[in-house]
Amino acid sequence: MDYTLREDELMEDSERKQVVVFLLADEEYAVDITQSKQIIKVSKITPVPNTPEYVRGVINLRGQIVPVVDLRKRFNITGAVEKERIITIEYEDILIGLLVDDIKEVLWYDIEKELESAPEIDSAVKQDFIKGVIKKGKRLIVLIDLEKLLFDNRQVSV
Amino acid sequence: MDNRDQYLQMFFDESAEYLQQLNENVLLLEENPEDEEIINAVFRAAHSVKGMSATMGYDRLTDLTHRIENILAKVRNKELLINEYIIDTLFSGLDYIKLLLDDIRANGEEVTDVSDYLYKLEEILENGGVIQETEEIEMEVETGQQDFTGMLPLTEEEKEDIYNKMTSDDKIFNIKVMLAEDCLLKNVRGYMILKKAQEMGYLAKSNPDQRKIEDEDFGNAIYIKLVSSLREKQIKQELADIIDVDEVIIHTEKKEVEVVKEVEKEEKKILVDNSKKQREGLSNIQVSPTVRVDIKKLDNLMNMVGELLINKTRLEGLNIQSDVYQDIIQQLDRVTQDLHHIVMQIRMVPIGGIFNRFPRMVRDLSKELDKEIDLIIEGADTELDRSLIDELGDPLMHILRNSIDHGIERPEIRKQKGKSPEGTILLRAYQKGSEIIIEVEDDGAGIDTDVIVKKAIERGIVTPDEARQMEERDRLNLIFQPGFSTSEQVTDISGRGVGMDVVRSVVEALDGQVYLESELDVGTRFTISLPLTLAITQALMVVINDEVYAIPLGSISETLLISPDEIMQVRGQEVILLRENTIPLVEASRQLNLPVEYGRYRENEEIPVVIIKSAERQIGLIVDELLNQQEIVIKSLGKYLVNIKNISGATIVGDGDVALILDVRNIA
Amino acid sequence: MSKRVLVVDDAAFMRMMIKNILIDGGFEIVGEAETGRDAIEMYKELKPDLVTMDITMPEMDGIDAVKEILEFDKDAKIIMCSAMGQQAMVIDAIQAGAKDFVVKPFKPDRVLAAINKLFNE
Repeated sequence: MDYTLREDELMEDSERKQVVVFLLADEEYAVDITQSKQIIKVSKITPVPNTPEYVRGVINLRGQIVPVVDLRKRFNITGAVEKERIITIEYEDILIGLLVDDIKEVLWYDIEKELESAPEIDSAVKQDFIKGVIKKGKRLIVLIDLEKLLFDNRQVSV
Repeated sequence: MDNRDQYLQMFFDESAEYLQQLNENVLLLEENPEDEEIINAVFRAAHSVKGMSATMGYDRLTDLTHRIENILAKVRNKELLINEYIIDTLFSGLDYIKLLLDDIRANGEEVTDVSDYLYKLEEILENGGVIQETEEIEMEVETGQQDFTGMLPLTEEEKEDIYNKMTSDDKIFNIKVMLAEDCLLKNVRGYMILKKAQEMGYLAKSNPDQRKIEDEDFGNAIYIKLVSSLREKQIKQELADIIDVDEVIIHTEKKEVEVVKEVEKEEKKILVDNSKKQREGLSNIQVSPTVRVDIKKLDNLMNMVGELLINKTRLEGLNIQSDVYQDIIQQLDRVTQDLHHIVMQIRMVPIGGIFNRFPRMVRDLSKELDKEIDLIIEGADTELDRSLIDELGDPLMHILRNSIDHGIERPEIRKQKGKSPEGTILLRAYQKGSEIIIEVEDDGAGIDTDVIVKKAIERGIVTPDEARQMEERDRLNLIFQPGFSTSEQVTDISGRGVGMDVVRSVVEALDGQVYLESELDVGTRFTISLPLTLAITQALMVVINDEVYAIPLGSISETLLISPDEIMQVRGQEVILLRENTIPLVEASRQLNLPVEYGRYRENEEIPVVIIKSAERQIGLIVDELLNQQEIVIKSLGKYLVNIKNISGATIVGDGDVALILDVRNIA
Repeated sequence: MSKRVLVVDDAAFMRMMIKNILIDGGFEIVGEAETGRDAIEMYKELKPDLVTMDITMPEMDGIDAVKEILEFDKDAKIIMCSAMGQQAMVIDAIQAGAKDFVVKPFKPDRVLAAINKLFNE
């Protein structure tokens, strides 16, 4: 697919990280790849009562029960959903699925040159959940702070 | 030394074992002060710990055990008579050993100051009789960092084996391979190293052995004895070329003479080993031919059985009209059940593993509180699931402390009450049907419910009005409420913040229950009941709001189909009459806060009701549909979704979908 | 001439990751397969210099694929791509004749080191 856009990656001595980029209502978001494990199509998600609304339910992933967090609900993003995908991530021993619109790509970024701490950016996601913004030319990709996303129980509003 | 970690773990494991032996035997010694077998057992255990500590370079431990050993030597030679003071001193010595071991574990070095204690031991030695140089069997301390042939001891058969396989071109190489600290999948890497070695010659021995390597039960060093005709340099290169190999050191055993010497040395060692084994046979540790298996492997096996079960259930669901099919199903059913049974069986360990910690604790505590207590242990060989054993230690400890502290009275008070001055605590385990029962029973003061109620009111756990309406049993159970402590004055023994509420929550987390019975001045009994098996259970599958849920059969007394006109109203509560019992009805979807309109069931001709039972109450749970009854494999919802109201886990049903397991304890 | 690699993994995402690393390392990707079955067919057709092989895949897993590929070409160079926790299966694969393994999540330098080692032998 996208082998061409990474001429900058031939540079040495820069610390780079890999992220998986996904879409929520046409905006680009990313999570660290060391934390993401695989991408699966959405099959049956069993709802779990007495949980926050953004917990869509649980799925059976090769015999393991995995909770699925609906990121649109988590970030209070409304609008029509055409497609749904689940990225499973493992964070501190917890395996969890994130429900997103679509997966775009896997890319590298340079921590020093391409990552900026989140300014007052125009994003649906509240500042608290943003680790930073990856700048790739004109593209702005919101890097999500999983720790906060998973363990801060406040509902986020725009 | 790089390979220190590897020894350290062994050192910890073994010293813990010896320490347990020491504790048990000193306790025995107190009762049988002249029993030579016991004296010898204590001596040997202290000696072993000394030897290991010296090898590892822990001076304080070495000193301490050395002196304990000396005292025992004197006792054995009848130069010193066992008395209470000596027993106490020995016990505190064992405590110091534990402290030092904890130090090493936590900090990597000895921290606790033992000089005062050593002085105390010296005093006993001096006052106890003429000081003599005791015969020392010093353990040889091998220091050679470079010479690691000691890591590859050979048995007679292995020796012979090597000589049979060696040709004139062959040499014996002792190889040490160090893996990188950040090596991933160390066991696979280790396997590749062994495989490479095998390709180069005859792999006579490795430490750790192949099984341990595959289990990832090793540090970063692998020692290999290789018989090969290749040159040292070549072997080194081949091994160093494997990814994640940091360092390869090779020694070539050159002369046959040396090898012969080795054999002699080995023979001596074997002799020593054998006599050591005999000694161990004398002590209380029972050695049976066993295989150590990583508990994770058993969990995996259990999961596989679960998968098998799911597929068996799917197969049954096909319901084909054919004799062959029925036959296969029956066979499969039997095999699956047997397999499940065997796996559970493998996971079982005797509860004695935790029980044997208690005699020492009871002794110390009763002494501290000036009480005389006889601890009787029954059913230590009762087996239960390994995962339960680990969890039960603390709750049992707490109940026992409670019995010693609050239950058993001081001797003078007991006499006044006309009881024997010595109190008795009975710790008993046994299997009853599909449950394991553990009881802690004392013949102490019993629990005064008036005191309990008073405390509960003070702590704001209940209001005086509520308390007045409570039944005796519920009053007693107030001690399981969070934030409750029954002691009039908070002692440092059981009043340490861990309350009975913790005991209860631990037991309930294991799907068990705690009961409490008590009679004033007669005694108190705590009963813990636990399910024999955790992972698989029989359940009734039901439908609630289009989703399938599982209800464990253990909490169901029966199921009914009722018609709407059987439902009656009693004080605004819907009830049904079942064999003269009034049973309140609750709607499952409402209990689960599902986003649906409640009360729709009244429009149906037949309403499915599951009668849920708890200790005393029964309740009718209205569901949408009753499905089948089947075996389910209980799976956890994971760490992200914890403590979800009325849901205790999940299971995977035949079609691969997830069904949630209802936790009905809070509903009933 | 750069070495030709066949990338086998059922997850497009994983294939993309490993492809990025390999292309960076100067390798040429000659094909991608999603199942063990496809991998064997493509191996026979493409005769790549190297195969990166996932372990768990639908329609024949990586271990069986390794066995069949080696039956076809006993000198095939195959590197297993394993997740943590698949130790036993990696051992099986090595036993079957896979040359080495790399662990997900992939670290480029480790992956390239393992591969380059194979070609230096």
